[in-house]
Amino acid sequence: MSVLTDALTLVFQPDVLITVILASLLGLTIGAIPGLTAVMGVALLIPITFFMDPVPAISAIAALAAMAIFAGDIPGALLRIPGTPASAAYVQDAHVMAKEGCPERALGLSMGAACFGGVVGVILLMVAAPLLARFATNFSSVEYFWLALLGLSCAAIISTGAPLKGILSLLFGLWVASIGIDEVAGQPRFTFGSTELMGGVSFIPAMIGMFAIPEILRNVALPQGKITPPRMGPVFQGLGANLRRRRTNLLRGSLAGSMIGALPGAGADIAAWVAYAVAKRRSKTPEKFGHGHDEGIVEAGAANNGALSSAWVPTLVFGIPGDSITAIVIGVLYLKGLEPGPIIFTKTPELVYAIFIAFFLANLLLIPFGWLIIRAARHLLTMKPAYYLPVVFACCIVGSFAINNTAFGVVVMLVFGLIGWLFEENGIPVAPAILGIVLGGMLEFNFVTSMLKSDGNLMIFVSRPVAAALALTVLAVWAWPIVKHIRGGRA
Amino acid sequence: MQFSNRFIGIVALIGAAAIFYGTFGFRAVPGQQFGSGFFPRITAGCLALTGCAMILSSGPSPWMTVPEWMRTAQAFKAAALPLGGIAWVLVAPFLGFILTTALLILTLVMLMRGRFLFGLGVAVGLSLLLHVVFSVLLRIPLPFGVVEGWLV
Repeated sequence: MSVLTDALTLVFQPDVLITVILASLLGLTIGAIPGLTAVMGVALLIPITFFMDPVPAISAIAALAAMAIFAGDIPGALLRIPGTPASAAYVQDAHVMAKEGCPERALGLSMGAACFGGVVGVILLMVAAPLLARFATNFSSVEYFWLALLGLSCAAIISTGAPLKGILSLLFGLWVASIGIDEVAGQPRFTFGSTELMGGVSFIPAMIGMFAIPEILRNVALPQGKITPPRMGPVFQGLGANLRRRRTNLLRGSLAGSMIGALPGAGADIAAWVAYAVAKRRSKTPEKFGHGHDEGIVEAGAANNGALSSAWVPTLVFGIPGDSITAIVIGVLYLKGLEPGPIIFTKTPELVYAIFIAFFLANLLLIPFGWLIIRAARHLLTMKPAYYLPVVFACCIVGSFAINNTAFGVVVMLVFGLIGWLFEENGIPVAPAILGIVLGGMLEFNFVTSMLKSDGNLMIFVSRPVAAALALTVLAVWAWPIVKHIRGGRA
Repeated sequence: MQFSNRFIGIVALIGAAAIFYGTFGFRAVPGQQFGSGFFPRITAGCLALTGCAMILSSGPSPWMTVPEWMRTAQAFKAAALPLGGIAWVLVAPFLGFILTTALLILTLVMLMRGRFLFGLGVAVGLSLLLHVVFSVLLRIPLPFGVVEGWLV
């Protein structure tokens, strides 16, 4: 109980609350602007959180992500431009509904579903994370190796349309992670004589570059035409009745999203698509899907934010990111001197509970802030890219500079930005590379440590029951595209 | 700019060879069976396998396809972005953060056909805001120049 009281005291401080409110407003603005995504918003926020205490820093990230993911539905509904990849699952339904003169109904449903799904995800996070952490205290380097490999494999193979390209991206990330002084032997690797590279490639400028620069370049290269969003009616009119009517979708989407989000490397995008597919399969009127029907919006919308919260389960318990946003969070936790893993639950439980409460708060704030952004959406959507894109670029520059107080960070950001753009142009996903950069050190350390412990005997990797089960899961993930290919060939 | 899977596979193979070659420069640690080159070599091996798989899975497609927008003025606008970043790195130590950032934003706004006066307002306003947040509040030693000298 005292832990919870301590956590509440940590969160309900004026500076934390102001940070959460500001981050929420920033998240809503970024999510509502077509072409700017939640991940990019989080990436741009990191240089500022770098100078904050852990609780306001993590709370700001949680609030920004939750708001941006919901706000991504706004350009989706009004313009058929999904603000985030997760919104793409139900963009057609929401847009048709908006075109039929009910944009407020589509956005209201999506706001209510996001809030409910987010709260369910937080509850799962609060229940599952401490239990798993207790179980994970017995894990050795072998289990951690398999967990890291599982997260990376899921991100590279399952989360992407093209597994080979996903693996390529991941291997690039793993190579980048090996740049700098080797932790085990103290040997400089791939530094090309540069003292700046001795400490490794700075994670934050690399991530800002890979996530933000391709988006800015894409917006510059392929500008959108003149935008005329429709007029908005009262958001809350009939919302409660509509949500009650779709309570099965709401509950199923929230639970499915929360469970999918808790899988390492899965995330909100997959959760939303799976939930939409389930909603269609279970619906009595599947023919209405894609024609302005509300079942898909509610179910996938709830799954979206449910996954966002539960993606923190593997992040906090094992240090394995659930999605791109939590990959960034892991980097921030390390920067704050907090090593994610089961120990964080025993060493600083009040901090973990403070994160849970901050998440809860962010999801509850979705209703008033969501209403505000829906009302303001018309003005945000008509903002000219000619003004906000240079501003975002300037933020990328100053953010990359601020991490190490050197222009080298800006160079890293630009180089990784161009690499990220080339990746996206060629259908190579960026997220596995980022996960590779974040988890590469952990994967190598646990692999080499296990090999040293066993004197090179590979059997150590399946010598314990949990390790063997994890090894089988990893093998199943690897075999999945082959099985899919064979099944596809037969069909 | 889209490359064929064959081209990407060949680049992956060259990358794998380069990583593998690079590991030969790592000195062995006495008494340690698995040195600094161990894990990068595994990465290189996996990269080579992925490269081969990409070459084998590649269909008959051109090595490189240049999208339509790269043949128009949009290509210059897109190129202005990284070039602007490089210019910022080179010029900021002399002109300082505020002036360089304002010039960069204004140039990009004009290139994207924004209005001059509004762009100037955005450029000056945002540069000053970023200066206050990062330099004054967060105490980041941003490049110091003429304008910062006036403000001190």
